[in-house]
Formats: sequence, structure tokens, C-alpha cells
Amino acid sequence: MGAQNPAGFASALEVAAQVRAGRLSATDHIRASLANIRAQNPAINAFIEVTESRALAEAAAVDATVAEGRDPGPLAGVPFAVKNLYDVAGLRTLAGSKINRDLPAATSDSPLIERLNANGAVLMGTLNMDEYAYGFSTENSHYGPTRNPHDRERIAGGSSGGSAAAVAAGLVPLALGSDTNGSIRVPAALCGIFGLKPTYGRLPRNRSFPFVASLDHVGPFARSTADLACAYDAMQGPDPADPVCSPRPVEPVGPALALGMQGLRIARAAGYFETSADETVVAIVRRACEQLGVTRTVELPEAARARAAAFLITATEGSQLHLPNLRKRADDFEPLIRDRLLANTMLPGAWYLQAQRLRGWFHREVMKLFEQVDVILAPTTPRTATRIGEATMRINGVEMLARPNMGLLTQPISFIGLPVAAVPIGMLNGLPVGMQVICAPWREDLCLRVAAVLETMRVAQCIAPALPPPIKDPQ
Amino acid sequence: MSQEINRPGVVAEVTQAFRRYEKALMANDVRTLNELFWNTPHTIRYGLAEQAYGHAAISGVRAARDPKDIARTLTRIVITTYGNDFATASCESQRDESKRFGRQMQTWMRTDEGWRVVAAHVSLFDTVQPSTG
Repeated sequence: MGAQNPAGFASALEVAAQVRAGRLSATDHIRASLANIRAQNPAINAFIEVTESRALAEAAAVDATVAEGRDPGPLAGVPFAVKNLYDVAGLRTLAGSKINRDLPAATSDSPLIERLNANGAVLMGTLNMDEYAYGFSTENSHYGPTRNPHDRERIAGGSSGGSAAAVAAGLVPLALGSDTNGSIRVPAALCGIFGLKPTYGRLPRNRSFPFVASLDHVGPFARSTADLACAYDAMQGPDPADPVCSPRPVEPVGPALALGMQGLRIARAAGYFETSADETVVAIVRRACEQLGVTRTVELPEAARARAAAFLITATEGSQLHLPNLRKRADDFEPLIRDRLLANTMLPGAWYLQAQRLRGWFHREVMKLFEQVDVILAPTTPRTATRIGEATMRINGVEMLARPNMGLLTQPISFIGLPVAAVPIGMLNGLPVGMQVICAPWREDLCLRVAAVLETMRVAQCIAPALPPPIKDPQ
Repeated sequence: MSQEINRPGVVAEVTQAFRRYEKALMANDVRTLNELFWNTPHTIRYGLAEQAYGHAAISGVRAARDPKDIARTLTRIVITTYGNDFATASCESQRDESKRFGRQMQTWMRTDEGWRVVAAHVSLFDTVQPSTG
């Protein structure tokens, strides 16, 4: 609980304010956070590597800046960690795999790490994930499953499961993940925290290990909208090394975060987004909509086909990326994805082209909806976290495969690159339920404004999991 | 120079100053309003019915201000910072009572005392419509 663990559950902005004012030493805070990670991580298996000496060096630099009377930045002394597909100088970019252990260590950091560091944040380490980001459960056979802090017998979601679990368990207030089909939003929902999947092309992806170039996004996790917005503002900006990254200038969302929802036209996604989710989850989303005063609904046309097309693009690009290793050393791949990757190498090219054509059509159709509404609300996952090892799940009485279907509500949205804030909106039998706040391209500001309204109304909030008491720190 | 425009730390500082100004405006806290305008003859504020040149003239307008119908709700805020020491803050608003639509543009500069408004222009309309978003 928060009271047992104040170092871990302080917000990023609280920590930064204390450090900037000289009331808290970044070094002391990072030492306490490292001890907390050592004590709590074994129960959830979120961290794969803890970059202790680097973290202490960065904290010392922050303290030195404060001592000189200069400002270390809005994230001064704030610990953060990254999914282990981000390049970290001196570490091998594992991307959850065994195969990448044979790659040389990265020579420089991902630009997002550089930008967070430049604003005073302190890197604590790298986090577990589904191998090569292909999955929604972070059941990793090489490094072990990441466990949901709310119930350690259950999945954290994926593929950025380590990122979401680390934030939910209070190990760090900020983490970075990636989202190709739902890999930020699904674990945010299942672990009960906030996540932002920005517009496709908004944040640079260079120096991160790719999965599906046409669909890959990167973004942050946090326990509050204000922390999420601060991290997002710190990471915006072009980077010519990622050809997909937009040259748009930085458009800070922080100044307008508290504007409220006056004048915003908000609708609930009906049709596919309600029939595909369990009625217990839909009831919580509808209750949140009622509390916001949202009564209108919209229907995204052919959402099921959009999802199928996202799968085809994923299958084709993902398997082509790994084809050389599939030929040479298929046995070294994660057993849970190996067969799918191998089968995907044989997909007809025409299917891929049709999927890309549908992408253009679906994008145009959904943009028409955004002439009538500014914000669309939808459930994030069809149900709460399943048990680790569970191959199937039931949605409204229908049995289906669990691992590929946890993203069936997120895939149609990332398919066309729309920005989404994933917000925690309630608990069902002790397990978190999430909602997607979806806006038109480049309107992350509106996603976060509505998330902030939900948080102010206490419709959306992070609930600290009842983790076991910390074990005594061995050091 | 991607970090030159809207450097996050600078945006956060100007946002904080902007919010302090708005809070003082709503409370008709004349002392804080005067503090946040740069105390020099260079400072200019074009108000609803007057043009005030220099901090003394602006303070005079403040003192004579009628606090009726001042409550407003901001509907759009854009803050842009240029390098470390210079920024613009623009906002749209609606008066809570009269429902009139307002616009405010401020130019902020970092001084030794902190961020200060060096130039401002406000306008209020019965007919102009707010932008969407």
C-alpha cells in the first residue's frame, strides 16, 4: 500500500518539485527507489536489468545542477524505466528475446531516453515484455512472466507488461513502452494505470527495436494524467533519423491540461466496441460515460475488418523482420509465438496489400466521424486480466484464445494511428478495468484533457495494489 | 533545433506564471497583477477601452477596474516558448455571467525577478465565436 511505500508512490511531479526546490536530494530518492525495486521486483518480475550505477551518476548530476543554482528540469530526480526494446548505451537491446543476446551492446540511448534525461529524469533500468513485442500478456519463456501487481497469479498484459507493472507497483512513477496493436493500452488497463499512445509518427522510434514499422508507436505510462502529460511534453519533437516521425514542432499539452471538457463533443463507441467486450466491462464504461454526461454514440464502420487487417499487416511485416533468424535458429524463438511467426512468413502478398488499402479507407471513414465529435470513448480490453498460463478466455459466454484476443478493442484504433489515453476507470472483483479516450490525429491534448477531467471527478484513478510488505533490503 | 521552441522546463515555468496571473485576475488581486507586469516604462497593455503605456499607467487602469462580470472560463490556451527567456501566452475565454467571448495575448520575458508580462492585448466580443478545440 502507499503508506508502506512512500518512495515508490510519490508522483513524478511531487518528486521533481522537491528536488528542484532543494528539499529532497535526488541521490537519496534514487537510493530509496533502488532499494524499493530490489525489495519488490522479485514478486512481479517487471525489471530485467537495473542500471544502478548509471542511475546514481545521473542523480548526482541532478543534485550538482541544483547546488549550482541551475534548474535540472521538470522531471528532476524522477526515476523512470524502459521496455527493453529501447536502446540503452552499454546494454544489449534484448526486446524480450534470447536471440538478441548475441547482438552488440547499444552505443547510444534512444532519443526518448535522451530527452527524459535532459529534463532531469533518472534511468533505473529495462523492463520485461513479450518477445519482440508480439503478444498481449508478457508471458516470456526466457525471462519469466511479469505478474500483475493486483493479483500475482494473473498477467500484467502486454507487450509492455513490465512497464505497466513497474508503474502500478510503485517501482517507478514513469515508464516507456511501445504499442503496435495495443501494447501500451492493454497493460495500462490490466494493471490499472494511465498510458498514452500518441499519434502514429508523433514520437521518434529510432534506436528502439522495431516490430511492425507500419504500426509501431512509442509512449509513456504513469499513475496520473499530470505526470503522463509532463513526460509526453518532455519527449515531443522531430527526429530525422525516424523517417515516420513528424516534423511538427513541440505542441505542449501541459498548459491546457486543466481546461476541462467545455465545448468538447464526446461520444461512446457503440457496435463492435460493446459487443466484443464482456458486459461487466461495458457496464463500467457506460457508468463512466454517464458520470461525464456523455449520451451520444458513434459507430466505427467495419471495426472487425480493421482489426483483421491490423493482424495481417502485423503478421507480414513482423515475420519478414525475423525471417533470417527463423530460417537459421527457429528453436531460439519464444515457443508461444514461434509457430505464428513461421506460419506468417507464408502469407500471400495480396492479403497484405488489401489490408493496407482497408487502412486508407478506414482512416477516411473515421475522420468523417471526427467532423461530428472530438472524443470517442471505448473499453480498452474485453475483460480483466486472465491467469498466467491460461490459453483461452470467455467473453459474454463465448470461448476464445486469450493471448491474441486481449487486443481486439485496441487494434482498430492503432491501425489508423489515432492518439489514445488509456485510463483506469474501475475495479471488477479486485482487478482493474480501463477505457480508451480516442481523438483525431495530433490531438493528444484533448485525450489528456478528458483524462484529467475523469481523474478530477475520481471516475479514473490508480488504486495502489495491496502488495505484500517489503522484504528487508539485503544491502 | 527541436528543443529550442517549447523546451519543456520553460513551458512549465511560463504555464505556472500564466496560471498565477489568471488566479489573481479572478480574485481581482491587484497587487499580484501589478507584480506580474514588468515594472518599466516599456511595458504596454491594450485593454478593452484604453491603451496603457508603462507600468504606472497599467497600474492605474487596474486600480480603477470594475470587478463586475470578471469571472471567466478559459476555453483554449496556447503557450509557446522561444529559447529560455521569451514566451507568448494566448487564450480564449467566455465570461460566466454575460457569456461574452474574450481573447488575451501576452508576451512574457524572464527577468531577474521571474517571468513578467512585457506586452499584452485583451479584447471582448458579443459576436465573435470561439474556435473549436
